[in-house]
Amino acid sequence: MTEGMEVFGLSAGHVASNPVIRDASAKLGSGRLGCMVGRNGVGKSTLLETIAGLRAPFAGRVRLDGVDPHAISAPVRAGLVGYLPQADVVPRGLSALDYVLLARRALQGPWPFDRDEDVAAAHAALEACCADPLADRRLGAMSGGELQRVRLAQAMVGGARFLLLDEPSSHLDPRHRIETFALLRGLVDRGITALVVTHDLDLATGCDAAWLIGADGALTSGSPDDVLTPEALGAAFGVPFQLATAEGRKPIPVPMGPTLRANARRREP
Amino acid sequence: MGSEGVRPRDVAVVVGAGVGVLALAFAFALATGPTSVDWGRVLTFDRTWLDARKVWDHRLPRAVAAAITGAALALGGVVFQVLVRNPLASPYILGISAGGSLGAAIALAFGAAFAGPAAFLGCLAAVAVVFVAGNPRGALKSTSLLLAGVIVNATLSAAITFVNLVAAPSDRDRILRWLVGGFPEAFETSSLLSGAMVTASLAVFMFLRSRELNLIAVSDGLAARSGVDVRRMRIEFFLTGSALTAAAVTLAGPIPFVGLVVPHVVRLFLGSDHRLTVPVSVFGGAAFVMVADASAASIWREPLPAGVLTAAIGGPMFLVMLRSADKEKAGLDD
Repeated sequence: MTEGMEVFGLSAGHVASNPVIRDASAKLGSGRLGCMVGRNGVGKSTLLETIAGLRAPFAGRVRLDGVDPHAISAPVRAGLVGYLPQADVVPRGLSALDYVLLARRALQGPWPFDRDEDVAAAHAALEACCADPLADRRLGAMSGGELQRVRLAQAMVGGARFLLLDEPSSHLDPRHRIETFALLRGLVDRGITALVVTHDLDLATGCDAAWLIGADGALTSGSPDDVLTPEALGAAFGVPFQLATAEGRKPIPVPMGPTLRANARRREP
Repeated sequence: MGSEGVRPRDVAVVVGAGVGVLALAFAFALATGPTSVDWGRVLTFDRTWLDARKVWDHRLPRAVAAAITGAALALGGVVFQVLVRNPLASPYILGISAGGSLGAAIALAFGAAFAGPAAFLGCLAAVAVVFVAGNPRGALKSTSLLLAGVIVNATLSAAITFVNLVAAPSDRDRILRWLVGGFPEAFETSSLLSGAMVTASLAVFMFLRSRELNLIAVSDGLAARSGVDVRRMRIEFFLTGSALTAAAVTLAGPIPFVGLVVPHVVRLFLGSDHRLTVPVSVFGGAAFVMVADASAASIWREPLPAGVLTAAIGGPMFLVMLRSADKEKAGLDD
């Protein structure tokens, strides 16, 4: 059995005759934080849903610690892999705890009540996401950063060893983006394997591994330094990239498109 | 419900309160009628007394029918509001009751004495049409199901109007009374018994499905991620809501308003956790229709159908509640 996350020859999408993801193969080691980078519409979410066991592949295989998430029952899958979609309906009137508890359904029997262990697991997940003080607060009364932490807690409340997160840092301000990745780093240090879709290349270069989907849909993977090169990113996004270095920090790739300012008539600010 | 979600104790409390309210409504329904009765005679249970026959052979079965109808409509409303994820949904929104109404109208136009069996067949036919049109392969998705139902409703309403126009004037009057929604003077014990069994068992079934109702009320995606077979669940909810609607419409015609508003009132007070919404709506709907029917039977020179009162009194009451309530908690803030 291979530890960690592995996809091999994976083909997935909406129609079998024209898959979005074609023949994708990549690995992410156990207890690693991986990022997935690629332009809009290239199939990142499709790939994530397929790995999460929520969308059946047309060809190829997914293995999470050697287990095929498509071949197991929903309760077992909930204990194996958690998935955070990019956007979801937010029931504004629910408390954070009640919202997180909803996702414990997969692990419960027919009697429609939350057991003490469900409540404890919900608090533990909120705690791990630095959101336990929000347990009684309604989702409608939360900031974007708070809500994102609660959603993350919901994704992992089943006790999943693998987390698949679709742009958890989008819509967040710089500080909350950094805090989100620090939180993910903390979860990974506890043994969770996390794959994160992101457009924050500065944070992506700080991950343990990078999966880059090129403009042609081809998936390459490896260490961020090898994969997220200016050349590869330039080809993937269709704008030139350069490495920029702040003193004492790792170089990060930044897009070098024509600045709006350079082309614009000079105006007073 | 605090920081621990809904506990069995909470459900026991609301069910206890519900039984109490139901008992009061029952007493009111037995005591209220177009004429007053001598309770000394009623309580002899001696049917040679007219008053005893009035209470035990007419008001009692009618109150039971009202309780079944109210419970079925309120629970049907809860289920359909989740299924189409729309607060405007009522048990009638998907056209199932319109099928029943058309069946009843045709039967009455041909001079039938009872509309019930024809109404039931009409409901079943409408259920079949909406089910197929709502695309069960595509998991009866909210919007397409809602649209299919509303269009079936409109088509059947046109047919009902046609039957009304071509019916003889005396039949037309009976059709109109049936369409208002109300209870006939007499019931078959078997129809009461089967209605009660269907409603009670579906109420228990929906209570056991209350977490799935909670999840699907938020989104199909969350339900799927939480291990719920969304397609199967939506089909179960559709068939359950349809059976409840058919039971209610068969017993009493399309009594308006109950199925739309009782679930909302419950959510305004208790929030949108279906472990509470399901049992409280069942008891609340039953009590509401019992009181409305007994009142309608006694406020006018002649007994009025219950459907006249449910909306006329319930509507203003609901508007007052809506002003002061916590709409976010009830899921009505968007």
